Amino acid sequence: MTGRALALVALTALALGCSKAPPPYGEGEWITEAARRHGRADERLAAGDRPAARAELLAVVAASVPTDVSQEDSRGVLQDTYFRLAKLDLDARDPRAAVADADLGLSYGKPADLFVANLLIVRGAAHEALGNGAAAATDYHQALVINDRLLTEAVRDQDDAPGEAP
Amino acid sequence: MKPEDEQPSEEELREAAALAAALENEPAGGGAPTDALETAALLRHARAPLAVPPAHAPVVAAHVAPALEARRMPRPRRSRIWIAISVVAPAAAAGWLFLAQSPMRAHRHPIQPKIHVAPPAPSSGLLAAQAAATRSGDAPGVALARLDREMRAYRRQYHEGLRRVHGGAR
Repeated sequence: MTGRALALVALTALALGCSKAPPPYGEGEWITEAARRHGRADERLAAGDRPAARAELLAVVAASVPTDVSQEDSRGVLQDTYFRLAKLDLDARDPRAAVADADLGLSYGKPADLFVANLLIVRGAAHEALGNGAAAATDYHQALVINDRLLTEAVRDQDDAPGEAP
Repeated sequence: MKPEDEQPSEEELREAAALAAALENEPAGGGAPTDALETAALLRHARAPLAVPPAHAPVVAAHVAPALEARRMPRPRRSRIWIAISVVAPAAAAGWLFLAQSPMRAHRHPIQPKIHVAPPAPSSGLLAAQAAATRSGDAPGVALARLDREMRAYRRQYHEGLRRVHGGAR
């Protein structure tokens, strides 16, 4: 009887403990941590330590994103990180890993923006390195379409800026 | 010390002898005190094992058998109740916490719509580097490296914008 009662108390305590587990980061902390790790990856690359740079970037994509960060913001940060990881894979002459990392980045969504264009470019380069010309051309073309749109928007914004008109 | 404490009286000696005789189950003389005899009888019974007269054995067995049988049988109903309580109590506690804390948390920190921070407009240099990287050529690595360099400044600007809106230490 005492054993059962103890087991019951332990189970209840476990349930209470599990229900109060806090999230690892708040939204501000998550972004700060991601920015800090990107900065450290830059330092490691400048020092020629590619594996250490890669480890910093992997920590960014491995961290759980707080629920209060909007999906669009987390997408931007994560896709940019996967772009860097795929670029590192290419530098390490591992185009298959580059394709895999680019695919992971693109799995967060494919709106026509800078981050998606970068991922398409690095995946195109990886396909090119693998001798898969058709896939490379498709990725480059999609990236070019996005780039053209971004360029058009940039020119339009410049024209619309106050004080810029003749 | 008083002299009567050292030498027992004749009456005390007689009572002690009677008690000793009663404990040995010998016929006591007329001088034995009643309370001493009762105590001796109790002590005698305590030493002797409990025995049921053979004539009464069936009656006693009929009374005792159901109780023994009930003790020997498993008690599935009680076990089921304990298992059910063991499962339901933690689940109920967790459910209560979930339901009770959510409104409290919502009251303390009202749910706000998630803010999306628009990325900064890319510079013409960044867009030019990106366009160059889309053209496969003899040295795609060079164009990609230039795009990577251009992205560093853009990235810092983007993260700074996110931190300004979402908070967080610099």
